[in-house]
Amino acid sequence: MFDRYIIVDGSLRNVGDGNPTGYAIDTRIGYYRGLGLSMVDFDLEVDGEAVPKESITFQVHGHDYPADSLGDVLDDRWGFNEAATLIVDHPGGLPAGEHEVHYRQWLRISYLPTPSQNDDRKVMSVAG
Amino acid sequence: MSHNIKRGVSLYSYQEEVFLGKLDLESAIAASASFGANGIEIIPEQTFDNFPNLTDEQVEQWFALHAKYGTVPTAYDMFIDLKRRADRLMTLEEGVESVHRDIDLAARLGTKVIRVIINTPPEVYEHAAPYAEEKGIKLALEIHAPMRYDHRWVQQFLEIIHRVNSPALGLLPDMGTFVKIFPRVVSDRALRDGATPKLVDHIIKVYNDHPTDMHTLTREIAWRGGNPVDMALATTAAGYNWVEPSTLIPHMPYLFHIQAKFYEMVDDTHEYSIPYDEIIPVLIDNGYDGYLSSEYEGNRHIQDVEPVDSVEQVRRQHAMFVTLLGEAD
Repeated sequence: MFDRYIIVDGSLRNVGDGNPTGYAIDTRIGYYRGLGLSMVDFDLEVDGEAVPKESITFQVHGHDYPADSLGDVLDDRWGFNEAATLIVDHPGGLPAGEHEVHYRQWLRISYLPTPSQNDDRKVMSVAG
Repeated sequence: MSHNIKRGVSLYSYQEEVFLGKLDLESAIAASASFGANGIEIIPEQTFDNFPNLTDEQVEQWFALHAKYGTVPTAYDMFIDLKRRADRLMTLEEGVESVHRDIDLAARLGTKVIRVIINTPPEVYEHAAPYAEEKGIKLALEIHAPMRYDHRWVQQFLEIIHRVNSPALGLLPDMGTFVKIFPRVVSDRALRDGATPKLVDHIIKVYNDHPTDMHTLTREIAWRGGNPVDMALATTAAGYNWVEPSTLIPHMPYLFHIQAKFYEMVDDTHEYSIPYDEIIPVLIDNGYDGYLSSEYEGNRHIQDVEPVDSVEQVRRQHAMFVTLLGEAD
């Protein structure tokens, strides 16, 4: 229901001082309430290439979780009003210029028969 | 005819603007109060990012806002994350614990009614009743389309309500069970997303005839060569529901709260698909004395073509309620 907003527009940037250690984007939950992290799953593609899950850290309100173990997190939530940052370990970062980010999110909502899927695609620029 | 029906709004209505940071709790309450939607229904899991660990300061702020704008807390929309773990469902004990958590929070927030979501196991509902009663909180099972009062799932709850006979157990009808005309915001969105015009017309026509076998429509659309958008629209259609408003009458003693679902207020007098002019007289004539709590759900169908103005939509619904409730006289 919030597909078009789940990638925060313009949020793609390289991270790390001097020589980038990777890049990051901000994401929102595609639902009308917050949800426990164990019920959240996603995948990420940049410029048509799948980003390996094990290289992604999911960060919300200052807490870091390896993206591939989000399903085990039973004591933290992703709030409706909060952006979660996906930090990708990618030495050197992304080259300056435009990149297409494709982000799909699955939410295991208990009253729905199958996970709710949200899908967003945005072209964003990384500063040189 | 005199009545004691009150007007309110669920903050669910403003989700688009809140998500986008255009409205916050205070501006949402202020807007609601400006058109007399004085009962505020809250989804704590939407409003409070630190749910369920609300601080005393947050709770004080909640009451301070009501004092400032002359509003009152009405209902608390709860959820039960039965699939919180990927490998198993919640147990009965975990389910009851989840509802107890909500009862405690509802007591703190001053919301006397909890909207019990429709997927709550009936046994959890029954086991949570004593604690709700002790805390003075009512557990109102949401009757949400496509569920109807005569469906097996709902019948299990009605059996509990009648047998246990606790003042804490009752119902919360969602007016989405009275969709008489297929919402055009939904079919228009499907057309923009690539649905086949001829099949969309067919889906609308079939829905508006209110057949008893709506669930067969998805197959029919597949056989008529429907694409995935057509199929999704047929499935959506089968998820709506129209029954006569008089269906509510036998349940009237158990109605704690009403979610006044709507998709599109065309003007100040008319919702496109739900005939409130047929529903409200039934509520008045049969002594309903709770809230009509607006639940706007049109945003997701129009956000691709126009800025959503939830506040204006809710304002129009209340202009209609003022007329239908005779407040203008």
